[in-house]
Amino acid sequence: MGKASRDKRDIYYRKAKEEGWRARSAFKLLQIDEEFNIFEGACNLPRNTDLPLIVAVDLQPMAPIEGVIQVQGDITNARTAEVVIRHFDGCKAELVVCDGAPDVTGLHDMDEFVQSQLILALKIFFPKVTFAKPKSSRNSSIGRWPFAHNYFAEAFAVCEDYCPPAGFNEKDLYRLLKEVGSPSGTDDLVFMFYSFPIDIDVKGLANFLSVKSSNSDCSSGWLEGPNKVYIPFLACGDLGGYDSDRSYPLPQVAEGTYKSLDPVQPPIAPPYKRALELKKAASQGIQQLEKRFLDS
Amino acid sequence: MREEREWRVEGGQYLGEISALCFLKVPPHFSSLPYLLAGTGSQLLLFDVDRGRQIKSFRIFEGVRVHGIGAQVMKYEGDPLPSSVTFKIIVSGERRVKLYSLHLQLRPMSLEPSCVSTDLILLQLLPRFAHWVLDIRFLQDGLSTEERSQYLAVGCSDNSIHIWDICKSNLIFEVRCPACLLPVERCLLYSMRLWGNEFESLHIASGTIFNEIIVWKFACKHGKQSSTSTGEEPDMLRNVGDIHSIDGHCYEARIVSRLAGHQGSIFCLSWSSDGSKLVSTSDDRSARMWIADSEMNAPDKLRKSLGPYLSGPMLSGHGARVWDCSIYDSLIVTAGEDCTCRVWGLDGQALEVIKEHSGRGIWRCLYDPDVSLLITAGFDSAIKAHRLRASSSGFLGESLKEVNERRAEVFTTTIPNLSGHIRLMDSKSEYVRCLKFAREDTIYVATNHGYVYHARASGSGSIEWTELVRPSEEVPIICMDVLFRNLQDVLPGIEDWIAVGDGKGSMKVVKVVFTDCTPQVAVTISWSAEMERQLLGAYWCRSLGCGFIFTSNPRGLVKLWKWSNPSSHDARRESDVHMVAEFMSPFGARIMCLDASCEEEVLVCGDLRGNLVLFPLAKCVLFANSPQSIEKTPVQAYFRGAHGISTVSSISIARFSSSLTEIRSTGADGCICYLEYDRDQQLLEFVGMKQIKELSLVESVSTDHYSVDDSVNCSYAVGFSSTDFLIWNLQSETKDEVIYVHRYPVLDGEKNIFPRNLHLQFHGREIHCLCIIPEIFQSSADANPKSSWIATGCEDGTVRLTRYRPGENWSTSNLLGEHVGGSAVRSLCFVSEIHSAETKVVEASNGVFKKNGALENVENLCLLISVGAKRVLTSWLLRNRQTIEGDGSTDGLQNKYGGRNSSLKDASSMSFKWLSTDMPTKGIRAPKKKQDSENLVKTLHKVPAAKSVSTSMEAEQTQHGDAHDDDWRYLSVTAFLVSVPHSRQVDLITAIYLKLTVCFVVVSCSDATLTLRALVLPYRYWFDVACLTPLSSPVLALQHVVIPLQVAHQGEMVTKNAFIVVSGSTDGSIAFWDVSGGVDSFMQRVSSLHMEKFIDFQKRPRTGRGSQGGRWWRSIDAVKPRKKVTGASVAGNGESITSDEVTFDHSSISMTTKDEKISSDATQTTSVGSEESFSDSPAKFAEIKPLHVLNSVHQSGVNCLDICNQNIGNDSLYSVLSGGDDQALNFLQFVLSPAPSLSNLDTVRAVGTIAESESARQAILDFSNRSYSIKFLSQNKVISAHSSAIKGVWTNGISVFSTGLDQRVRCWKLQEHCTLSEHGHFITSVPEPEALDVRACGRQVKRSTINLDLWLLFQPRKEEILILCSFVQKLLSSCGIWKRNANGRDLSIMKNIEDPILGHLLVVDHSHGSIVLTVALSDLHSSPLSKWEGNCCCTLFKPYVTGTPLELSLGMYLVISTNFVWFVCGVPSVHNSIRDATVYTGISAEVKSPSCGGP
Repeated sequence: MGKASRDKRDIYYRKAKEEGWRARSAFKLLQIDEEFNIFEGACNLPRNTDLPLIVAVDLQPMAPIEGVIQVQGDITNARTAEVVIRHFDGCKAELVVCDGAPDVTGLHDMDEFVQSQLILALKIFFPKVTFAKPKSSRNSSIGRWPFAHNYFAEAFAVCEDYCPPAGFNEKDLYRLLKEVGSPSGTDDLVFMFYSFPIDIDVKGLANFLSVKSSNSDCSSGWLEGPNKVYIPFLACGDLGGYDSDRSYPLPQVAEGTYKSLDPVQPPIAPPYKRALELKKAASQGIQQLEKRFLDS
Repeated sequence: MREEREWRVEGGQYLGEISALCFLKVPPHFSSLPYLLAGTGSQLLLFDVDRGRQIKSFRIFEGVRVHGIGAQVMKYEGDPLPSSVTFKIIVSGERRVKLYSLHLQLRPMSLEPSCVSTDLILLQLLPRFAHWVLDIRFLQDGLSTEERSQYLAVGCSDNSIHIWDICKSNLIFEVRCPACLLPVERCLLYSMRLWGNEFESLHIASGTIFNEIIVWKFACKHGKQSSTSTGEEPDMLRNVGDIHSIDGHCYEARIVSRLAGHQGSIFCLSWSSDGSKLVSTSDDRSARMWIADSEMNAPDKLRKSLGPYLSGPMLSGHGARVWDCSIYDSLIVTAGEDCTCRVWGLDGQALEVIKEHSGRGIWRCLYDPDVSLLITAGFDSAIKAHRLRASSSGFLGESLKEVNERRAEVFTTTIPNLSGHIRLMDSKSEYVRCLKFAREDTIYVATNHGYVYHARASGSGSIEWTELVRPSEEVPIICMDVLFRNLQDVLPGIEDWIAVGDGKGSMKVVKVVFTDCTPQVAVTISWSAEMERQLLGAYWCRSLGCGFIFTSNPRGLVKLWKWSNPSSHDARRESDVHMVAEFMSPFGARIMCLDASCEEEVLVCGDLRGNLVLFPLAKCVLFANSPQSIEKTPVQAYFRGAHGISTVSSISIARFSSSLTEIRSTGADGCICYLEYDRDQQLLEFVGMKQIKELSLVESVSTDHYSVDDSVNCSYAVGFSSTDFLIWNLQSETKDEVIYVHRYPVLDGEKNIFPRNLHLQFHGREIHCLCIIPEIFQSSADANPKSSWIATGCEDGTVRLTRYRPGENWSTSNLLGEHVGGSAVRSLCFVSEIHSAETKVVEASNGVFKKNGALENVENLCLLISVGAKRVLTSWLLRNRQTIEGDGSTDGLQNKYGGRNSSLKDASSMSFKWLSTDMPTKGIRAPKKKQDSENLVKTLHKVPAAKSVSTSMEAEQTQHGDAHDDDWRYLSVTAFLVSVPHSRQVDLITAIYLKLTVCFVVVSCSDATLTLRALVLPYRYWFDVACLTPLSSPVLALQHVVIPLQVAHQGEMVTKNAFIVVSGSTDGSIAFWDVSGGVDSFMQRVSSLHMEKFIDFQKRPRTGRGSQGGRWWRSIDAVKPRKKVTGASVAGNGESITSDEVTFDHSSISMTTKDEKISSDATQTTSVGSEESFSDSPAKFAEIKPLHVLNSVHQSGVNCLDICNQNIGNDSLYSVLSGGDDQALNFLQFVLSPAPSLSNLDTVRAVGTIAESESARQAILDFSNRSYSIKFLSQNKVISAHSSAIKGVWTNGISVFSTGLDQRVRCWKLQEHCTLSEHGHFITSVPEPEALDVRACGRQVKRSTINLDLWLLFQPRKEEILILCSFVQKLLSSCGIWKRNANGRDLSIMKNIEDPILGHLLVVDHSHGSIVLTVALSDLHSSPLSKWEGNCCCTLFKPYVTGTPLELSLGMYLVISTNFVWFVCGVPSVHNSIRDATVYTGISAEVKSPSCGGP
């Protein structure tokens, strides 16, 4: 499928390129912001500089963005967390946006590194937890892209008003969760807790990765039955805005042919880069061989 | 509530990806090959690889999927041939580990060694681990000497090892990799592999997501009891059990090596058996080998970057991520996302590439070097077994080329008298012109100089040549055909008939007999068949024998020649040969192949241009004694462009039933086409096509009868792909062998054909939709009536039909076909019930309707409609295939849909034949809508159909650029069938009266349009009927209801159907549309048209190379009359209706749609149909406005909808369930009453007002129409019904089933006041269910127990899995109908109904104002009642309750019996009592409203 074809199918993909966003997921955040004003606090902070301090962490190398400190590393790793905290210089973050979808599938239930207990944990630390679904996040047309990272990025868990339980100690986490009724799986939460000390103040936002998981072979009592934890759902985004399920015609251009734009930022150093190089070299090698054969 | 029910969920068979593999080494007298354990879903499957069958399946987990299997044989003592063997099996999934013993026992009484009884016993359930389990290994007597396998080492994804004591059943200790200890550095693993049989030798290789492999081990700490702390690594070894008891030693974990080099996460690791080598696979599309360097084993070098391991060769070649690998002494096997399994030498050289799976990849590969058995298993659910041909020892260092040479003998030879021809070739030189195989070692060769040779390959590799024909002058031989016959009774057994035609136009037929394997010419006949250079083809026909031969010329003429007394040994006669018949193709293109059937009296020819021509071949002509005058036989039927513009390469005819002949043709477009010829009606119909993507030219298709197993009856297609000649296995859809050479040796003792498929091949990608095909449409001869067929549509563009029988395996999965260009299938709809439309009867000219067999077929019309990407709309027609027993010829055609039944005994196979495909015509600009701020209603532009080829071509050229613009897709579909009850179309060609049936299809498109389309049957003709407007958002879910209404029409009461479509959109709104007007006017219009005048029957699916390119094909397309009938001609003043009727307020009480006006206008304005009026009228669609729109029912898109119906007198109560992206279930009820009397309306309105309670958020609305009124009663919602988006919902008015991305299936009960209460839920193994279908079916009845099987089907978004579950309900009430007392609390028997046929019982169970009435059906399948199953055989209807707690209102209960329809009617009362109850009998349609006035 070519770029133009995807342009036809996915309005947000096209718009992201036209408006200069790196990914269509930018619209998701914008739409969540419409509803929750998540960026408001972050931008009005009395700081030394006018610019908000933004720290980005990723496992994969990122192309640089102006005004953003970039850290390559695993957020579940304490060292990475320390690096991030150091950048904040003792202050606390206003907003944490976390897309924790691990970049792996294969037998894709491996994706369940983040489990339903995550939501439960959020419930403990944030009085207000909402499932927010931006209108741009759904798209029935784009089948699943084999290398897409956001398999489960269906909805976001927006957590507001951070308020740890009184006398909370990180080590008490296990006990705390037990009280709520989730007997195990505590380690799943760790990646959230490394990020939470950073964000003590206002709002937290974590990408919620499909509440699935457990069953009778695992436990999920809080998801079932009369004492089920209820988390409200909120659809974000303007009603008059684009519908990601809908097909929009390509814009009419004077020359008559629509020209697809390149992505704003292609992936840098993807894992398969070398494989592609090798493949290219191999086919070139054959061509050279053929050429030599013809010359002789 | 007295509804005491016990629910038991019985998990059904899972059909989906295979996620784990493990060999079981059984003693050789069990099987020469090891058994195979495979994990799929939460099940374990046991296979006998040698016999290629599944022995048993076991359920291991609930919800959790099997990720890993380990096996270890327990000792069997002494006996070299034990009758039983026991294995210890460990199974892991997510964080679960279970330990089983698997006992295999040879059945003592059975002589057949394959009869094995199995017994799987759960020994231990390990406590849930905190992290996912990645690998498990048995540790043998390393720590203790008492017994083998005392310990289990379990590796988890946090890079920890847990040692489990099997004897004591406890966890001894847990060790973390020192590199991954909290809080310094945490570690997430995607893979881990353990090596070593003892604790001391245990090596752990962990693949991190940071592209690194950590190898670590336990080292004995010599300072005894000095505990673990050495300061720098505190808490490294956590003592869970008693560490000191282990040999008195203390162990610490040490990192041996860190292996860097991969550029992506590590997905799989594998140790060689001696631990000296390690293979890893990665996200970077490569695999790497790491070799232990024994020299560097010194401890001081432990922390060096590479440690004692050296980087070995990198295995590069996979085109996508590599999921699995394993290394053996001589080779490495890897498998990955690119659907290939690759075999590599230890030097990193690629040895073999196996590409036999389809879809999203191969998950698992496993190899047994002892028997060279390679198993691959993937996402497509198939498990394929291969034998690597070379012996395991020979593989090392061998190149791919050498392997190929070993696999086949190469013969190279030249024709004999070629000596001296060293000069350049020209047309005068001697060269081979024709080549025909006669047997595996024999070819016949005809040359440019007119020689015909017989060549036979001897065992030694040399070729023996025999000259058969020596020409007097050098005339090139143009064509040759060989008829070889095995004569059972006549010595020497075989004779060959060779027919050659030369450049002078003369034919020569040579009979060759064999004496001592030496060919001898017995008979030679020659005659002049054509003019010089006009004889291009000679064809034998096996069914006619050696007395007849066909010849063809360049202009499409075929001559049939016959000679008398062919077996006489007189040589060289000419006089006896005479021409019997001449056949002239109307297309004038050279006939390339033909087949004739003497019995069917038919001759089918395929020409150079892809056309098929069918001629009559009368027996009297064939066997007439005296030569008759020859006339050109007229064409009986033809199919234009069956293979597009490509040459037809082979044709075969088979008998299907008494009147149907099946024709199969193959062509150079890479397709196999199936056609049916109806002899009575002389119709040639296209019924199916299979495109073989790997072959560019399909030479022919064969059926293989010698396979070892019933289930593996393969059929093969052979043909060319580039320069390769391929044998393509049609069943497993794999390339069996690439033939580079001429002969294949069959290895001695190799009775099994490899590769073979052990498990049912299924979709390789995401299934988007499914529906259950009710079993009443299956043959009644079906031995097991509980089996059911499920149609599924997949992302890969295929539609499959799969049979499931509860308690058994998935038995069949047939590929019905593929959408055009493999475009994704989004929605499916099964239609069977035909509604009659009330139209003015159009009398046929003579007014006599002939009863005809074809009519019966129309009565049983069952259609499957599938829609999907690129606006492809495909319809399939059900046909029940009754296999003609013992008729071998039909067997060949049985495979036409790519699969076949598991056994021939079970011959009732359901199949759909391709009926029609509709998609936007290329070059014709599709109806497009421009969006205004408020008004979306726009006129639709269509290009008037061109009348001539040239104008059409111009149009295509000018609009070609636009053709790519519309990349829209269909999102959802619903359909219903309407027939004109009295009018029959007269087919002028065949003079047969056909009943006209129209399939109305409502499709929603991603450009936010909703279109009502019509498929007119039997003409396969598509019309756009109306556009449903306005819509602001695309519709994701569609349903419809058909409501029979009694209306007064021209002074009489007639039954008229109201067709209501319900749609759910992405903006969360649910809209109701009345399409009755459009349907009625279309039916009016259609029944007054003479379609047969201009309709081309001949359509074929538009896939295949021939149909996609080429001017010729396009011009054919253009010559055909434009099939789009525009709305204006159909619905007349539709436009004016919408424009005149502009203002109606949604909040207003009533609205009139004036459908009467529509139809009357339509009949007035439209003239008698002619081609001109169809094509030339400026196109405008009729537009239908919604009856009502419920806005913001869901916050986000409405993903699914279901509607069910309960009858209450003349009213119909409808329950609409919808599931949304917002995780909510919404429940809505509306009542539709025909022509309401004022009193009745008042009543319901009053009720409605009362019902306006808190739960009903939406105001109750009442639409009065001239023929009916709709009242929306109440609306209720379960917010957060699932923890994620809801994707599928089903209801029968009592129960509701829903499924969503949270992997749950929930059952809800509809209660009073329209509330839903959760009744139960279960967790499926399916990761992301995307659709659900349920069918209720009755089972045997025991006294006072009712078993209801609810088959639940849901299918995931990401993986193609089906799960069936059956619920067993137990009703603990006693028999009888209970009547309610005035106080409303007690129960009494009102009526006990026992039906002798049904043996049912009826229970009215009352408490809290609800009445439950249940019927038990003894044997639905043997009774004629079974046709009710499609809806609900469990007639468990809730009363129609209006909402307030005090209120019990009108309740009508319907029980279906064979003889009667029982109505139990409670009279509504506002004072909470039933004053009277009456039982009525009668047919539902005739029951008048009971006396249910006010109290």
